[in-house]
Formats: sequence, structure tokens, C-alpha cells
Amino acid sequence: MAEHEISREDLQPLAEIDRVIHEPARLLILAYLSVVDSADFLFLMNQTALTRGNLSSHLSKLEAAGYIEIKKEFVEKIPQTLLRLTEGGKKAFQQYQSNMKQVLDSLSQ
Amino acid sequence: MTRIELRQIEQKAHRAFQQDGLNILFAGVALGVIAVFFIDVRHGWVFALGIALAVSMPAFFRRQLVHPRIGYAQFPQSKGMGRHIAAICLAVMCLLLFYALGRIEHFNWLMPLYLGTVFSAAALVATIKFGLSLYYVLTFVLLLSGLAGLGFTMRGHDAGWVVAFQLWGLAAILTPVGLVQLLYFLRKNPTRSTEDTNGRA
Repeated sequence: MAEHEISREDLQPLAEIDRVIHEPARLLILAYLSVVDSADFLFLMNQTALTRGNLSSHLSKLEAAGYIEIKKEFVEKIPQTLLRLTEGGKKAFQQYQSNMKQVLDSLSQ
Repeated sequence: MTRIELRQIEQKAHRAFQQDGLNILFAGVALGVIAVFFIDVRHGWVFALGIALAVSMPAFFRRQLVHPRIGYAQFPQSKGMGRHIAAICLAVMCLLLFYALGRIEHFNWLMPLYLGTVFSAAALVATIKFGLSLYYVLTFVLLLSGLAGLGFTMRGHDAGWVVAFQLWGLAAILTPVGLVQLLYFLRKNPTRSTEDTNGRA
């Protein structure tokens, strides 16, 4: 029997983990968007090594959650899909990092 | 995810835009052009032309060749990078002013070392920022050129000519290296279809 019984409070950070961000591909997308001001679809596809359909699907989910902003515009007559992290997305990503850190710290104790 | 991992992602994103060799290629071209200025300081426009080539050409070719292949990203640190470039330009400008005035001729013999140090410092900043091992080699080569130039000026050779040959020598190294890197990049990354560049998002 464990000396310390796990309480509801101990599990709180685990329960607060954002499931939209927790998916590895979406986490990678957000990590990339957090280090740039904006990036286009092709850049993210190259960097994350996700397929076009897969990336589109994850981007749609992140957009629906309000974490990213997708803008379609023409740059020198070429259509470009520009993506950027919203303020809400930045906060959610930071919150996710801090929750994960707490969870991992408590697991290592 | 730790900060270190995010920094690695940031470096990887930066590196993607440094693998085209355009910066190295046009740095070589610019140095080759600027060298003329050190032979005859009346050709101030040559210096301006060299700087213009080094700054505008990589950006132009990146838009034409690189973005259609690997995509586009805007980095928030670009302002910081601008400060680095401005600092390097300022350092070179101070030196040129010092040289053009020719008031302190006693120190002209130090000029090749000064230039080599300034250029290698710029390469070192790029190394730290992008984590590309090629820039380590360039840092060493640039510093070495300064030391070699110093050897010649200490033997009594004209500082202007020594610097000109130093810059031509660097141009002869940097331009082919940049060109090979660019050709390799173009071969490795074919142009994507419009559908790929936009997805369904």
C-alpha cells in the first residue's frame, strides 16, 4: 500500500490538461507557431512533416478552439495561407506547459 | 516541454531559411565588390553597392526561390537581428571613415585584422542563432583571413591592397560555397503545387 494516498488535489493539474493541445501533432504545430510571428501552410507542413490533409484537419481543430488565426491572402498574385497564434492560443499554450510541468514534477516525486 | 526544446524548435525554424546559401553567396559577391573601395577610397559608391547587394539580393531571391519551396515564416526576433546587422554595418562604417580620412595612418596595418574580427564576429552571431556548423568554419576562415592580412601589413605591404586581396580571397571562398549550397537546396526542395502551399485550411 502506498504511504501517500493520491488526493483529488494531486490530480487537479492532470485534469486541467487541454486535450486540444495535448495531441502530439497539434502540440508540435503550436510549438512552431509560438516561436514565429506568422507562418504559411507550406512552412508548417515542411517543419512538422505532417501530410497536407492531416495538417489541415489539425489546423481546423485549433482554429475552432480559437487558438490560431488562419488568413488567406494573395502575395504577388500567389494565394498564401498565413497562420498565427491568437492571444488565447498563446495563453492556452503557456497554461498547458505549466500544467504538464506540474504533472511531470509530481510524477517524479 | 522545456524551454530548451522550444529553443531547438526555434533554431530549426531559423535554420530552414539559412540552408539556401543565399546569405553566404551574396556576402561573397559583396566582399568582392567592396574590395575595390579599399584600393581607391574615391569609389565610395562601390561600398554602397556592396552593402546593397548583401542586404537586398538574398531577400529578393528568397522570395523567388525559397518561399515557394519551403514556405514562409515571419520571426519576431527579426527586429533583434536587424540590430545586429545595424551594429556590424556601423562598425564597418567607422572603420571606413577612419581609413578614408587617413588621419591615423600609423594604425592602418591593423585594418585586415579588424575586418577579419568584425566579419568573424558576425558569423559567430549567426552560428549561435541558427546552430549551423558551416558558420563555425566560416567564423574561423574569416578570422584567419584577418591574421593572414596582418602578417602582410606587418611586412610593410600597403594596407589598402592587402585588405582588397583579403576580401577577394574571402569572396573566392564564400561565393562558391554559397552557390553549391543553393544548388543543393534547389535540388533537394522542388517547387510545391499551389494546393500544397495552401492546404484546405
